[in-house]
Amino acid sequence: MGARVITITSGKGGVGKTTSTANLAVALAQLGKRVVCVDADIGLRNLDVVMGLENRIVYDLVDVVEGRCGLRQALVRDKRVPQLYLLPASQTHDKTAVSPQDMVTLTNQLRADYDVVLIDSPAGIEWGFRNALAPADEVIVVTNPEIPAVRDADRIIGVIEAEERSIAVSVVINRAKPDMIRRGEMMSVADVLEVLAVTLLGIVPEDRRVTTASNNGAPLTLADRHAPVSRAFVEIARRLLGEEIPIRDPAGEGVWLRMARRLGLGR
Amino acid sequence: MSFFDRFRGRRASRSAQVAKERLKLLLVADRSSLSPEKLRAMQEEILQVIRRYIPSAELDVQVSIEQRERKHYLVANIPLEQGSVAPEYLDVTQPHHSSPSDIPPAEDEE
Repeated sequence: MGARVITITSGKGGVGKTTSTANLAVALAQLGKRVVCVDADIGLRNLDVVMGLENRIVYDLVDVVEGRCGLRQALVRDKRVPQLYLLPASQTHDKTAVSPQDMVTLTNQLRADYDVVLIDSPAGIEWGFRNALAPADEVIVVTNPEIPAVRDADRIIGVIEAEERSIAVSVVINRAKPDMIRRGEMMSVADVLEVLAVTLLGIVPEDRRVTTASNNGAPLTLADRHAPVSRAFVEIARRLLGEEIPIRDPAGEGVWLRMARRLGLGR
Repeated sequence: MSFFDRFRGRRASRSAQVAKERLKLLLVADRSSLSPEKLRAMQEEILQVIRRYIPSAELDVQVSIEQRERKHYLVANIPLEQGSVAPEYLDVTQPHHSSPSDIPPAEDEE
């Protein structure tokens, strides 16, 4: 089988899916894994920009699916990290240019040559999300400690749990603001987990450098691996690879122990 | 969760608590396809039925929604004290339930 296929989704847009995909990809590659990111947001591609690879795109996912090029030709290598590749989305096609079955076929081709296939899902629960979900072995739901984001995360988790095959689901709480949480102005990790009732994979604090790194075309994990955000993503990557690393709550509410074992996430 | 509850008590009136309560209600509605209004109406009707049988239950009866894992349950806590039940209904032979966990979850709440 080879690679694990992990889809990153959120339901709501703007919670940091694409940024999380890019940072997690860098973290996994830095840990020595062969990683390929697939941008499944056909028509609204962005992962290339966040990764800083937009100028090197020749072919895209739709070109591969429609047979205009081979899969390897469409892969863009990130030269700053060993073994990190991007399969960009098409900017010109409609999302219906790709079917869930196309995505399964495509990722199966990638499985042999990589350790991890990370799929960046579009927001929503429609076609694009279905495409991203179809080949997934595992799903990471990214959310923020805010009502609309958690509500949509819950909806997405419900959709995934209703699938016939069982797919491991975990959640990453992104843009947590420790000072606001401490003052009771933002829902805490405990609050979010209490309502979502799924495995917590990691907590990523809010940091303006995520934006500046994005401006410069280098995910923060690549630009400054000692930033708290970068450390959070490296720890998420290591947890995905099976390490037992306690989850530090940036609001200082205590230490979350990983609860993923029963879901088989920690292979 | 008790560790976290202590923190929660301290910020009871803060907006995070408001957000959490609103979110919980929203998710009950989303997951059950019952609108908040219908849910309230159902709770009120259940209360009326209980009051018909137990006149003194006015204050103590709690009909609330509980979440276990990813499912919600409607839970009624009804104290059955001596003299609380109107005599004509006192033909109960079963011992009454004393805690919510003894009550089988309502199946239709999902």
